[in-house]
Amino acid sequence: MEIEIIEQSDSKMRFLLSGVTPAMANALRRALIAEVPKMAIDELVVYENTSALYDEQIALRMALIPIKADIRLYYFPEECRCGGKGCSLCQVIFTLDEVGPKTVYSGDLKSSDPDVKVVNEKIPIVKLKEGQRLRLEAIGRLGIGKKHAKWQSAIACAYKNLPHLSVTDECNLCMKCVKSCPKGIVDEIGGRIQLVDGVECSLCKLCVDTCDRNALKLEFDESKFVFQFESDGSMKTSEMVIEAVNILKDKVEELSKILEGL
Amino acid sequence: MMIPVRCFTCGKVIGDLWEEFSKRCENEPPGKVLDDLGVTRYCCRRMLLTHVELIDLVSRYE
Repeated sequence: MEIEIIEQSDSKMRFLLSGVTPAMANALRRALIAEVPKMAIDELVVYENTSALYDEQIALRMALIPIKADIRLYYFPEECRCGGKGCSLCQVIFTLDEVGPKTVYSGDLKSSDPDVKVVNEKIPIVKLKEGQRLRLEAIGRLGIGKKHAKWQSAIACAYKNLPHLSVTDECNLCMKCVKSCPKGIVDEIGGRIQLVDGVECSLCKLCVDTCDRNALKLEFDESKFVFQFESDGSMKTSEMVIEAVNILKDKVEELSKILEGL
Repeated sequence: MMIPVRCFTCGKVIGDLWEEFSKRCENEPPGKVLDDLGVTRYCCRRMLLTHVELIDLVSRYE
């Protein structure tokens, strides 16, 4: 198994994963989407809401706001020593009290833990008119994407097999395919048509379709995956991959333990 | 009503981009503003492009 990083920042990551089966790549993808823990607002205690939105609408909007928290410092409510009743080890409390006229932003939430913060401070929650008021307490808890999308930190997490063009002898170098490529990555090198950058290819197959002689075929390398995903800001992408791999490892170990006991 | 917090399809946070987007669209082409804001996928672009802010109309009622 080999990993070659193509692009990496705190919010986006792209790498070439080679020498693995599709099952392995898919396991990593699913772990990233559904198993990596994240903090999100899970419960609201609404004291006063005279805004135009229903309590439920506000609850959904607040749940989707990404929250940055060190997930190693918090427990899942069901695994916490308090037995799921709620304590400072498994939940964070945000308070909000705003009177109109103003727009209430995610940045107006005041956290009980100074290290747990909202990632984007400029997300509008609701616009209040003169005399309208929103007063509530929000409880943030740790969870995983399998349970609800608000606990999913990986965005647009997907992979494709690395594509390449196979050219038959029918090719007369008419260059139609080169011109047809919207990304400009089909080119003639040494008298042969080639896909120069398979990573960038969007698999549109325009080059294949424009060829009058049916000389081109888009093929895939079944053991190489161009893997990409983004983070919603609650965690760094590098931390997310490591977390996902560790979760996979734990699951496999658990399985092998069960199998040994049979 | 209010701009959705995230893109319905991919989950990217787009709520925080709305105010800048709607302001800049008054004298710039929307496509260019979206490119500037780093909204690349068409699922996220339609979230901002097709949004109708109705909150001012509705907030007269409680």
